Amino acid sequence: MIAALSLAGCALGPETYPLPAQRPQGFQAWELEPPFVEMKASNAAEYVVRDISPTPEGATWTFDHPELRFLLNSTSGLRFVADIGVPPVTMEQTGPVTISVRINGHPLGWIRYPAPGDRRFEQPVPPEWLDTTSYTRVEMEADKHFISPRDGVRLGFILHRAGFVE
Amino acid sequence: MPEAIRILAAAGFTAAVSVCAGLLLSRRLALKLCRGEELAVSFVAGSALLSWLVFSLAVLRCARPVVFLIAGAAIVAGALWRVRPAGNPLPDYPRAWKALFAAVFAVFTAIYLLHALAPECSPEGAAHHLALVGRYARDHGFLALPGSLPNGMHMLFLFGFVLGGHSAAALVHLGFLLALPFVMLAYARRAGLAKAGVFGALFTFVSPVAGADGASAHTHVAMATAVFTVFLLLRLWFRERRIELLAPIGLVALFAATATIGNSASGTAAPSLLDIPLEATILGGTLGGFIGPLYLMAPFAILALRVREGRILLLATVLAGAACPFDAGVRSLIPALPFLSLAMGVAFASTRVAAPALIVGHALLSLPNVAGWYCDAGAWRIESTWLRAALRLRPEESFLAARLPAYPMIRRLDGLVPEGRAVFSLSAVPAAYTSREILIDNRLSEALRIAVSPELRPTRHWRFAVPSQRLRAVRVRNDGAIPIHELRAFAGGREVARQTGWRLSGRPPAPDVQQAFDNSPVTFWAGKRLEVEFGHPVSLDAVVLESPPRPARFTVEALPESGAWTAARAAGYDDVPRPRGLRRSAIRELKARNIDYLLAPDSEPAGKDLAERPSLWGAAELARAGGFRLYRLR
Repeated sequence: MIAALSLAGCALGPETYPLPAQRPQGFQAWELEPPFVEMKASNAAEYVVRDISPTPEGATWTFDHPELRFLLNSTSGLRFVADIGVPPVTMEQTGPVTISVRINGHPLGWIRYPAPGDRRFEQPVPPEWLDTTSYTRVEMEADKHFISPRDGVRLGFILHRAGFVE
Repeated sequence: MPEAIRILAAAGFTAAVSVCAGLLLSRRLALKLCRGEELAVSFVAGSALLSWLVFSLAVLRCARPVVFLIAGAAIVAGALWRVRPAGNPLPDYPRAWKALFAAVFAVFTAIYLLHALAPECSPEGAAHHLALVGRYARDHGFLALPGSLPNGMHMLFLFGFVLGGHSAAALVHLGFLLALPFVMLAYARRAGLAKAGVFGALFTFVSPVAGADGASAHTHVAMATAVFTVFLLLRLWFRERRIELLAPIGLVALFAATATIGNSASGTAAPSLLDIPLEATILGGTLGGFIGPLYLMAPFAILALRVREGRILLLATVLAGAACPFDAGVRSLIPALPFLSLAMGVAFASTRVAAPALIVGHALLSLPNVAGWYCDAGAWRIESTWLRAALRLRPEESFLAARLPAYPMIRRLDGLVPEGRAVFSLSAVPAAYTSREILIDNRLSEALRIAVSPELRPTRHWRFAVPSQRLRAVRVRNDGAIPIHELRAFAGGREVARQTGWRLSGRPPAPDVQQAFDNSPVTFWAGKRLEVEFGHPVSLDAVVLESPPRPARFTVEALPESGAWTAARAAGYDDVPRPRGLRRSAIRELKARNIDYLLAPDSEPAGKDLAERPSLWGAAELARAGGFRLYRLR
C-alpha cells in the first residue's frame, strides 16, 4: 500500500513552457556602473586592455603602452580624470617625465612631472570622440621609462585611479 | 552539565521509543529473532515506524514535545507490557574475538558519543538537515503537505530535536552507527562467519567517514544500517520463507529509500580516476572524507568468491555502491562499506594473525589524532573528542563561532530580518541556528557571479542566417551545453518581438529553458537542446544566441511554414561590450522571488564586489560578522 501511495505521487512534467515575464532593460542612473576605476578595486582587471598590473595591496605599475577601456553611459559633458604618481626611485633614473593621454586614438593632453609625486590629470573630452555602444579606449604613455637594473622590466608610472566623470 | 544530561536523555528516549516500537512489531508478527540481534533489528525497524508516526503527527501539526512524550511513553509502556522472553541465542564465537570486538567498539563509541554530544557543526547537518528540522519544529509540523515523501531521518531528527535540540538529533543518528556492527555480526553469526563478522563490523564501525557521518546529524549511516538490516531480513526470509518477515523488510526498505532524500553532493572537486583510491582511503580532501588506509586492501575481498556468502556479499557491495557515480562524495560509499568489509572479513578470517592485526591497525589509523597525520587538512572527519564542548563546560556559542565562520552572523539574523522573510545566501551557512529561512539556489548564486565575472557574462553573440521566410519553429543543438543567455530572432536587422503564444522546450526538459527567453543577461539555459515554437508563423531572417565568451558549437535549424527542418547558416560571432546594469539585473532576479535580504561572504567574488560598491547593486549593508555581510536589497 505504501509503495502504491508512493507511485501515485509520480507525474510527468510539462514538455513545453510559456514565454516567461520579460525583464525590463531600462536602468536608472544610479544602477549603472560609472566609467571609472580604482586600481585597487577587485574589478580593476576588467578595465585593463594591456600593460597595467592592478594589485589589491601594492602600487599599480604601468609598463610600455598602458591602455584602459570604459563602457560609457553617456557622451556629453564628460571629463577624463586620472590620478598618477611618479615615485622618486624611477625619477632618479629617468629625470622629469611627461605622460600623454589619448582617447579612442585622439590626443587629449599631457601632464608633466618635473619632480616626483602624485598629480591629477583632468581634461574635458569632446563628445564626438565618444560613443556608448562600444568600449572607449584610453592610452596613457610616458615619454621615458624606468628600466629595472635587476630584471630589465620597463616601468612607466603608478596609476591610482582613472575614468570619466561629469 | 545539566544541558548535556538533557540532550542525552532526549536522544536516549528517542532510541528507547524506536527499540520499543520495533519490539512491539517483532512480537506482534512473531518474527522469532535471536537473542543478540533482536535489539538492533528492533531499533532499525522501530525507527522506521517512529519516522512514520512523526510524519503523521507533523502532517497534523502536532509535532510538540508533550505529544512526542506521550506517544513515546505509550510505546515504551506497550513494549514493557508485552514483554516476552527473547528467542534462541545466535551461534557463539571465540572469546578472544569477543574481547577484540568489545574493546574496539567501546573506545570508538566513547569518541563518537562525545562528538555527537558536542554542538552540531557538521557541514550538512548544520546547513541543511537541522535547518529543515528546525523549521518543522517551529511550525509544529508541515505548514503545507509536502510535495514528495520527506526524508525519513528528518522525522526521527524532529523527535529528538523537539525534546533535546541540535545535538539530540546527532545522537539519534549515532544510534544507527552503534546498531550497525550488531546487525552485521548477527548476519555473520547466522551464516557461520563470526570472525568475518567481527572483522567487517569493526572495519565499518571505525572507518573515519562512517564515524564522522554517524556522529553528526547526517543520514548516510542510517541508510547503510537500514540497507544492511533489509539484507539480514531478506537472508532470513530466503532461508525460512516466513511471510511475516516481509512486513519489516518493506518497512525498513522504504525507510532506507527515504533516508537520504534531498542530500547534496559532498565532494568539493572530482579527482581523476587514478587519484580516487588514494583520495577515498587516505587523503579525503576532494571527496569530502576518507574511509581509511587499510581499505586499500579491499581488492583482497575478491578471495571471498570462494564461498557462497562471499559471492552474495560482493554482489551486494556492487548493488549498494551503485549510487556512487551520482554523488561525488565518499559518503555515498557508506552503504556499500558493510558488505565490502564483510567480504574482506571472509577473505582474511581464516588467517590467525592477519585479520586481528588488520582490525587493530585500521582502528589505530582511524583514531582522530592519528588520522590527522596523513589525511588532507580539509578532509571531513572527527578531529578530536571535544570533551568540554560536549559536556557544555565550554559555552555552545563560543564553540560554534570558532568552528563555523558564519555562525556569529547567523545568530544575528533573528534580530535583523523580520519574521517570515527569507534570506538568500551565496554560500552554505549553518542555517540550523536561525529561525529565518535561508535560501540557497545555484542559479541565483550564478546570476550574482555573472554580474562580476567577465568570463561568465553573455558578451559573445553567435549569428545564424536563415532564408527570409515565415517559420513555425527554431531549434538549437548545443553539444557543449554552453550557457545560452538569450535566443533572439531578427527580421531586417530588428529584433522580432516575443509573443505570449510562443512555447519553449529543451532537453533535458526543465522550466529553466524559459531563462533563455526572459530578457535577463544573468540567467541562462545550459541544456543540450532548445526549441521555440512560434504558434503563429513568424517572419525572420536571423537568429542570435547570446553566450559567454568561450568556444561553443551551436547548430541552429528552422522549421518553415511548409516543409522540413533546415539548417541555418552559421555567420560567426561578435564579441560585444558587457550588458549594462548587470548587478541590478542579478538583484532583480532575487527581488522577482520576493527576496529582500542577501547574505554574502567577503571571500566570494560577488561578496567582495558587494562590499566594495553596494550602491551599484542597490544593497544596503545591515551587519557584518565573521567575514559575512547581510544586505537589505532595494
